[in-house]
Amino acid sequence: MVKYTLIILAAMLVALAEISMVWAMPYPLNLFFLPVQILVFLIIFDVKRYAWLFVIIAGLIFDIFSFSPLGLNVLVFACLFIIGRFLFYNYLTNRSLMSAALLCLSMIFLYELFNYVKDLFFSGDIISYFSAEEVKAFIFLMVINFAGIVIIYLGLRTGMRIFKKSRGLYEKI
Amino acid sequence: MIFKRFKRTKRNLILIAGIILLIILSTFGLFGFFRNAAVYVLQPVQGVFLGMANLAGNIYSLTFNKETYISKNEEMRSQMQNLAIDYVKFEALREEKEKLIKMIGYVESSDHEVVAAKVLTHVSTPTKKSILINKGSSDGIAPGMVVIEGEGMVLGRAHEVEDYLTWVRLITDPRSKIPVKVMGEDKITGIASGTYSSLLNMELIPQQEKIHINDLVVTSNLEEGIPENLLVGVINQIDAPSNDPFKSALVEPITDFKNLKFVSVIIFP
Repeated sequence: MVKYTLIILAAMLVALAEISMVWAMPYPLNLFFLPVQILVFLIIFDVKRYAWLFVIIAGLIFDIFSFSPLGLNVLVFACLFIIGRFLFYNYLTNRSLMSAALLCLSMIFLYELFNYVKDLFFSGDIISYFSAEEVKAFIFLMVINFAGIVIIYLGLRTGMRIFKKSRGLYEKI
Repeated sequence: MIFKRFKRTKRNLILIAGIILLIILSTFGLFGFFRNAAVYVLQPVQGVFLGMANLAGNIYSLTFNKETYISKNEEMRSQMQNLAIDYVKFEALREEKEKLIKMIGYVESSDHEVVAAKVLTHVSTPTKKSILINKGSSDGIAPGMVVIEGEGMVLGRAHEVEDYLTWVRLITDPRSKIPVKVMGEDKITGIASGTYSSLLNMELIPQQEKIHINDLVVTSNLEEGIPENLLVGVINQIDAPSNDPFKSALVEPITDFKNLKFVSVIIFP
């Protein structure tokens, strides 16, 4: 029970940190997408129940602040999680840095795709997604998130080496 | 093995169906209370995160844009001297205007009802520039209302409004358009649209009208709900192609959109 409460709190904090902190950072740092990075590690660590809880809570927080119908972002995150898991356990198999990075980039790409479809249905005034600035922003998005996953992965690995307590978890990456 | 996989797929499908049901119920306006309560509870945490983001943003700007700040500082110093001279002239004119108003018994009609709001977050990418504020339709805010900072510097317009939250589209957003004019020149009107950069593009200025760099750009009353003479920015660059009946100008907003904490929304009936 305590673990679940902690996961709920962590998911809320991650979503709020993304909305109020990361989005408010200078461009292009604000393209870093924290929930997907966390979701990648939840897939790698194969903690399915916690991952579902994270998907629901983080998605709900995103729904509240993006004014979309409640559940829409939950659905997007859920699809990302299911597709991410499928990709990871069928194509990427090992828990290397490259696997994590590839999984993260594919999920970011899918998230952008879902967002585009979502905007088409729920927001009438989207600007051209194929303008030079949009393409540049997309490249920055990929670069920033690639850098992010590399830093988190290496940080996590080093951290786990230092704190032998998490040995079981460490062996997974 | 097959049964286990089927059970897992079934569980996933039930979850997805539950989420879809939630979306459907939400589109019928249910869960409004839940949303409002969540916004109320989460606001203090957001404030902390926004403070951290602003601090990080300032450190980032100071580290990577030091040279720009130095040259900008020099430029602003000389502009301040010119503004001081203008201010003296303006004060004289204002006094004159007040005397005239008293003489003709005119009741000033420029007092607008405003709602003060706190900034919860802001987004700034080349394709999206918005802020989220903690006031919404319950305070009388409706889409299209003008959002200002301080005494009357235009920030943007309310775009998406909920009971207790509003997303404001900043004037620099590429999708934003606002009717403007050059201050003191009622004939020189145009439309200021946002760009992918931090500047505005003032378009449709008739070729024969004279505009100058550093001219102040303010709102015009060409659109209902937008009060006249709210400060938008300063003309930074003029583009006047000889084969075009109109010219355009790049306008630099005066407000620092990054460090906004409180804003006001002008309510119109």
